[in-house]
Amino acid sequence: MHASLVQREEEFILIYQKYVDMVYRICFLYFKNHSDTEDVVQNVFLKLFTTWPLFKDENHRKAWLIVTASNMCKNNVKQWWKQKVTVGEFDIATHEKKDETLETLLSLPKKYKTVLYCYYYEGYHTSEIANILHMKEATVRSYLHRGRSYLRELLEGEKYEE
Amino acid sequence: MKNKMFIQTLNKVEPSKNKKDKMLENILSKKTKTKYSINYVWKLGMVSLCFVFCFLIVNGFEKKDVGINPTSIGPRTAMEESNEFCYQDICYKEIGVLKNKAGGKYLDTVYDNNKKVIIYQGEEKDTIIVKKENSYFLYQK
Repeated sequence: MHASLVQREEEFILIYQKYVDMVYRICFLYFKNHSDTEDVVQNVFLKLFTTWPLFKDENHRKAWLIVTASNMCKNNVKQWWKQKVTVGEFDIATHEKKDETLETLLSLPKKYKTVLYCYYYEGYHTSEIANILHMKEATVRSYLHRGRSYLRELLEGEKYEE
Repeated sequence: MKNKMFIQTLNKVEPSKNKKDKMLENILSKKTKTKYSINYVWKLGMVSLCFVFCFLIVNGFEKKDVGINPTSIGPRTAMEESNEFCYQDICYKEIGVLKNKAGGKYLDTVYDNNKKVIIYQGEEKDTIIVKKENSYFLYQK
């Protein structure tokens, strides 16, 4: 029993190191600040560690992490306390060099963020995203189109139309 | 290019090595902030309240039972011998049967051989009406 726990811990550390950046980015898109993001990232990995679900393959594990992170962020953002208190938002602008493109990305409506992230950053196809996020493929395409239009408007076509 | 821009922008967002290590340490020791979050305290409070309510309800019922338990108090027991009914050290004689309590004021509930008996004040001061098994009996001193 003890040996299996140690083995699980070792495996978990490897998974954590592999996917922590991905989960962090997904959560940061929702929260726009580092402290909340860290909390939710910890919760996502804690859930993985405590429930330790069985996965078919590595892609399944990755999809699980994306969906869990996305759902946890949505739940957390929905909380009434978070809706009222917005202190610390955009701390990337105060603590780091101001990045307009990043701020534009963060200002995207929540529903488009995960879809855009999966499509552009993780390189998933629309059918795969639909499968992962339990949405219709047409909805995914629609979200992508609207998200792109939104970004184009915000970036005034300068960088985006390159 | 869209893809490149997206990747370039998001590549800037990543936790530092120290942060990663600290988060991992927290996860492994299972000490996440959520344990002490408002949500957790709220749930804990609700569960505690439920326990308090259950305790009060159960205790309330128990108290009621104790109040009418014949073994708990001496004076509130009743004894019936032939046509006599003794209550609070006074014995009454049965003088008739009534259809109802005849407007008698409630006096007490006692137990006679583990059967519930309700006593009402009779019309006269020296009379009582006793309800036993849905029948009303009129007793006089």
